[in-house]
Amino acid sequence: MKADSELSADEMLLDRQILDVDGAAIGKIDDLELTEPEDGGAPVLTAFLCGPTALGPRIGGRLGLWWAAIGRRLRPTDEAYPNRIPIGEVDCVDRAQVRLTVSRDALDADRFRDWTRDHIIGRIPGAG
Amino acid sequence: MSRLFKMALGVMTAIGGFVDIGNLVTSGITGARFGMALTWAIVLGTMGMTLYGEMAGRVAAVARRPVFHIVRERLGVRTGMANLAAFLLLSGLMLAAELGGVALVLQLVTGVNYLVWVPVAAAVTWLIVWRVSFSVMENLFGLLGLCLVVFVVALFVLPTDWGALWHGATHPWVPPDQGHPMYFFYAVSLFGACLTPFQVVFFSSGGREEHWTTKSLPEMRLNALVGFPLGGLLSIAIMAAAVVVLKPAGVDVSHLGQVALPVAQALGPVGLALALVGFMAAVMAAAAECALSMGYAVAQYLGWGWGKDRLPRDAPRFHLVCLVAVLGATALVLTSVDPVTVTVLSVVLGAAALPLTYFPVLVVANDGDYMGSHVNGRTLNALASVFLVIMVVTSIVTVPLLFFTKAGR
Repeated sequence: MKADSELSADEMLLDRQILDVDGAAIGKIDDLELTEPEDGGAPVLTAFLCGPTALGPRIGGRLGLWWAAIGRRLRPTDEAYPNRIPIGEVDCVDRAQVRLTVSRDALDADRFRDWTRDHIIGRIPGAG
Repeated sequence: MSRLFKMALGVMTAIGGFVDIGNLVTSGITGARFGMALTWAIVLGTMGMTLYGEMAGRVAAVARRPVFHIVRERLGVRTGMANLAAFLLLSGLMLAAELGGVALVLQLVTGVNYLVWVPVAAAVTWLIVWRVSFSVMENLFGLLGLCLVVFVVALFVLPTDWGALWHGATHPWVPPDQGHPMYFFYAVSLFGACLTPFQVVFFSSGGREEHWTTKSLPEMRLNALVGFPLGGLLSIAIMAAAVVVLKPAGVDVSHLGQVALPVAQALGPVGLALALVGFMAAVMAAAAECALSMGYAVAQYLGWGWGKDRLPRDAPRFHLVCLVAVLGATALVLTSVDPVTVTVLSVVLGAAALPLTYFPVLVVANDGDYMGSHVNGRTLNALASVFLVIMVVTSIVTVPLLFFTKAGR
């Protein structure tokens, strides 16, 4: 990942728009995954988390619980852990944008998008 | 298309796009009730829209961020979500008002009750959202909306006492038969009608739809700095026409048709037809823009793909939000709630929520990291701060005024 030498999570990462390699919108950086190295030391940023199961806890309260619960129903697996975008797939982070090295289709990030497309929008004539 | 033609087209669509059901109704009502005494509220609202419209357009072009990207980045998840909820509620109300407005115009033309036309208005609005390209939508309706210029023509045909109009506008005293609360309630309604939040969300998102860059700034500025003020002038002309014809007759405007009466009196059936075409285009376009803005806002907050330049199946969630918005607003109008009352309510409550939308825009327009050399200057910041104070004051007094005047009855 290319980035300015120092990033503050709040200032530069959280709530930013994520774009795929073609510039298509993927989602927001709803939360961050920090991992502690096995040999100890400071935690390292390992992935961006996105989707309702990541955003719910940040909303907090009852609304946040509902948000996360709806998100869990929409997940392809029973696992509640949010969608991860490993830091290795991140191309650059700067003031203008957060861009990935992979295409949107390579990520299984958006079941809700696919569901609305297949069940509602795609069935209306003229959807393309 | 030559650059000059493109620029002229942009200005004209900005004029047509400025006026919507809120401006038509509030200008008509206040002209008939208060004469020109509330002209200052339109002038103030138009100045605010010009100032913040330009800022939002600049942020969209330079930092490539439309309004609800900024709202979430700057206000955070929770405040941003409260902001989004308020925006959706108010724009939903506004959308209902616009759909009701389209239906009322169709009732005027056909004589068939407006409730029959509501589903038709909703279907056409949704079709515009669904398939009509962004530039066709903006240019076609913007140009047809210019038919509203008949209000200016009517003023010249009618026995207008220009001196009296000017005197009324420059002596904004409260008429003795109205009282201060009523006066300020309608001042807020005019101010809110000029600064409708969905318009700035639409303007900045539209900038992204048209792929504005730093090079588009002169065009964008021309639209905002010339188009919006001319749109405000059109609102004042509608008010003045009501002052000349409706006020002496003691008409209390409670129907959209009454707003068009001065033109009918001055220019006959042709004038009336042009006024109705203007109403139709302005309100229809506003309905589609309002529905789109709700889709833009949700998609931008949650980071979904959005936009009219892609096929609906490539932005399904965005289109789902727009569809649900149109359906919800349609259901609201079909309860047979009075569309004119909904209009007044939505512009007034919209005025109460103004700082929510406009404050984050001001913050980002001042961020040198995003804006580089296009950051706000000192004079602009001073002006924008004054307007922010006015907006905050407005938002504090609005709800008490609403209850005290029983929504202006």
